[in-house]
Amino acid sequence: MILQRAIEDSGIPTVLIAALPPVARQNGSPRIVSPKVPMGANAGEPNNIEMQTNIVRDTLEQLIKIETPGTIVPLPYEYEAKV
Amino acid sequence: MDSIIKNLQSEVYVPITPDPIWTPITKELSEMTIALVTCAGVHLKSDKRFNLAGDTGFRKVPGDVESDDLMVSHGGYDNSDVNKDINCMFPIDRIRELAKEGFIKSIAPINFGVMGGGGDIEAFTNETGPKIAKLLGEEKVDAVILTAG
Repeated sequence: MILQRAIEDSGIPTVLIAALPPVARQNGSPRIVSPKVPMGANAGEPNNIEMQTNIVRDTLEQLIKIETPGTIVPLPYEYEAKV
Repeated sequence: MDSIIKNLQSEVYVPITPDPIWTPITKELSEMTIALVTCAGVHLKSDKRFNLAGDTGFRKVPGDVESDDLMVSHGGYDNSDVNKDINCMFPIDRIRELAKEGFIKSIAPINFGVMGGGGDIEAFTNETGPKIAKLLGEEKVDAVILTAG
């Protein structure tokens, strides 16, 4: 979030793929998307190209759709790490 | 009434959200050069590893790198998924595929990895963040996807 804010502040729009979206909003992230993923696989299940592509594509769509700073948009993809 | 509440202080910790920061979108996605920035400790295998005890440096990742030439050094989360497939934290192959199909214009020539999740917050805020932002600006990046937290 610190880096995101620094980049956004420099005049480049940003979007964060977060595993812990409330923490991101609390720390002042301007745009947040949140697939149902664990920390460590924010962009989706390893080697699941379809899920990763969908997450990245939806993230880019939300980059241009979100209109209010601090907005969290849940993404409908779920991956549970086997630990 | 004022005199009654004057010296009272909540014992409940109330976190303070920083002021909003916002840069509006001015281009279509198909015209945008997109950079990836991650706090997940991604870097080239040939590059210097992050110091797991705390590291405020950053590593550059060229946009045309083979994803097999990337690795992670980060002590703050379970690395097992990202060790199987770097794209689950740093979806560089997915971004390039979306550029190929014309959904975006291109991936940025330079992308960044840092080891986030704590450490010297002041250095990240006042040095690392602005340095990365400046380099992204010099590369004419239109927008950034971040993965962290």
